[in-house]
Amino acid sequence: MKQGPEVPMAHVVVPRTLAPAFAGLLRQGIGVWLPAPKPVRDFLVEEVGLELGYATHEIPGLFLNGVAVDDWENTLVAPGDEVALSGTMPGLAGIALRRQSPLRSFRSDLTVPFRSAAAVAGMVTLRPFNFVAQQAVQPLLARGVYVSGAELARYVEARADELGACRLMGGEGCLEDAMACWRQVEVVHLQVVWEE
Amino acid sequence: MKILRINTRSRTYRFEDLGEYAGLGGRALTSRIINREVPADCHPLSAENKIVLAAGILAPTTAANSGRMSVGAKSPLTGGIKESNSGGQFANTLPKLGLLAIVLEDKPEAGSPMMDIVVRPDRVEFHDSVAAGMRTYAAQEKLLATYGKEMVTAMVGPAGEQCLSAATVQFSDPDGLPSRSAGRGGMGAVMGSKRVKAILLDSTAAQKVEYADEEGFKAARKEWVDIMRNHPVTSQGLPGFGTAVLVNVINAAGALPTKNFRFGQFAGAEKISGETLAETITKRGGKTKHGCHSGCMIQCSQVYHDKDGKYLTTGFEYETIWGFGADLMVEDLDDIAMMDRTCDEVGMDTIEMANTMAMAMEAGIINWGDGKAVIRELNKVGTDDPLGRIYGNGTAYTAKAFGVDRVPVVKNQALPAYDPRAVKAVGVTYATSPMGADHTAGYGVAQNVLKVGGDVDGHKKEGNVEISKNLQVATAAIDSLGLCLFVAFAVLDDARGVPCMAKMVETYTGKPFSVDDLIALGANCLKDELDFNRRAGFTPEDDQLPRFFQTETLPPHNVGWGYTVEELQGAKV
Ligand code: SF4
Repeated sequence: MKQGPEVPMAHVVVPRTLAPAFAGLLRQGIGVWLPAPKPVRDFLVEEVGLELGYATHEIPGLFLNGVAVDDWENTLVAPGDEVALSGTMPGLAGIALRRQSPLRSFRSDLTVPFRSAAAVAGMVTLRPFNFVAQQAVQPLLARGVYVSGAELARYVEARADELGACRLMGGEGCLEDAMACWRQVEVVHLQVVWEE
Repeated sequence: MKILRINTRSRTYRFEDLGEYAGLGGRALTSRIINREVPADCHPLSAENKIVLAAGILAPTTAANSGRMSVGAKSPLTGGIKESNSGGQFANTLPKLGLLAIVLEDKPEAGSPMMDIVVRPDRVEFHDSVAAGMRTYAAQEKLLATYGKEMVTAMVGPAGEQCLSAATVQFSDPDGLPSRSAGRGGMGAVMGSKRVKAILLDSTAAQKVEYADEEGFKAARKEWVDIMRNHPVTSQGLPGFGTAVLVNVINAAGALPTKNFRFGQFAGAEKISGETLAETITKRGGKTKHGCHSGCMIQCSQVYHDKDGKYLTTGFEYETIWGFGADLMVEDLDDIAMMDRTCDEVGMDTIEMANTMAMAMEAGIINWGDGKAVIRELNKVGTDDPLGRIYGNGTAYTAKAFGVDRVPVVKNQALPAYDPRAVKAVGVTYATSPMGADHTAGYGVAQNVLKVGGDVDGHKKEGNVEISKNLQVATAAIDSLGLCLFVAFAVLDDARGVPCMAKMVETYTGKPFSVDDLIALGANCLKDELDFNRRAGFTPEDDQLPRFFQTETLPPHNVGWGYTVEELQGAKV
């Protein structure tokens, strides 16, 4: 994890079998610290921690601030941006929205224009959907992400039945006990140790 | 293969050779029959109209995903020609009886009882319906109890019996439930006008299918399966989350029509997304994979259970979830599932009814986001409630009844789930398809593979018009084969896809059938449809999106429309 903001830590031990229950948290949007603007591809590999091969072949849907990215080597991600990721997508719109789709002209009004960005650090919101959320949940949370304390508390509370076996790292406390504390803070750094 | 012609007035029938219709199937067959035999200026509910239920060219074969059904007639909703496409067991059962299509002709005297038509291997039986007035699930039970559980059904619900313009023909699925709809264009109203409640096929019939080149067909079929197994959309995407996987993605791209096409993003999208749907189904013991017919090897459908773990609905597609969800600002998946079930029960089109409910919201009859009120209003259709009669006639009719001026229809048919300002070639298709606003009329296809119309630049307006034309041709061809569009278009990424489809036809029929022939099949089908519509009185002025798409941009990207009537004409064959 690169140098990010000083925020409370939420370090949690979770049985690996419960990983799918956290995919929804990713879909709501998680924070990834970006030291300086960089191309989308580099952001995914260096900051998010995805393998280049995986990102190339398994993430046909790539959206920056709601518009489809075709040239991921040159399109810059900057602090404050939102990056959404999707696995394979059916139908006309699905085909048209793919990166470098032969039908990308269908959404020619929805393509990222070239832009430059000031060299500042900050948070990027990442929203992996569908297969990407399922497949990236373990490496992403193991690496650590930033989430709203209130959102995290809400998310865990809503799944209290399912997530009963999760516990705080280095202590006896269960997740629910930590909720009251997290709920008060704007952002927490969530890191998960997956337990066999 | 034969055509079964049924006179609904005299309750008589005859089997006919294909004759001048040989070589056609599915949509090409329904549209040719309607164009040749139905006066274009007739009233859609009159004795002069006919309704054709046709299996695709490949339906008799064992080709995977070839069991889609075409239902065609002059539409009471659009006033033009219509082909409405559905899953269900009907298309694969017709050939077992030696049939490619059934044509219902003429109509009984006013006040005649509804009838059930039972098609057995050696005869056709006519009965006063045992299920008249019943909703489809109860009707299905009654029909099977009366005529045998081996029956495969096509039926109308109360909406069809009342001849309402949003009425569907419901087909039974592999589980024997009437969950599959030929939804668009009011085909159920035409069947209801002929006083036919249900057509039942005896699925124990087993007429042998003759292949001209059986070994060649097996090789082509194997390749077809191989293409599907290796394509990410058909091997992973569709079976994983179904078509509803698009909710989050289209929303992220700002193209998910929200609050009657005012916005391109819906704050509650995650709650109604394919991912949430799949998680909910898994928790409740439903099925995340289910085929709309037994020949489907992809299974993009699902079985959705309610909070108590009881069956609620199936065939819960992206369009339905969008329409009853984002477009009405409803965030509760259980409510949306109940709306889907209600539409199946009453026999009405989910896309049309979702837009109709948007009109009720525009008029202040119900509040935006009030799912329970939508369910209440939908349940009025098919009853004696006069409001139900209004709703059941669709979006434009309801808008007129309530003085609403923001009406998302083309040729009177309500728009589906992609905002045309964001995805332009879809918009061109909505505007120019002979079907009225219809997403499946021009589904995505890699035009560089099909090369229909040569290479075009979609970044120019005329490029998107050209692409739309190519897509409409390809779609008509695939509908005529009886293949599932979701599968067929996905696999067109694979250069083997189109030649493989042609090869399956050639080896089955024994007649030369090239990729060019496939394209000609689609183009000629469209020509039939455009010819009918021209004679029915349609002009280029009818090929337009509603005015508000011209005058309003779509947030968050603030994209507009901007095609003229003249520019759009290039999308027609
Ligand atoms: S992929 Fe879906 S729509 Fe196509 S045939 Fe299978 S279940 Fe039906």
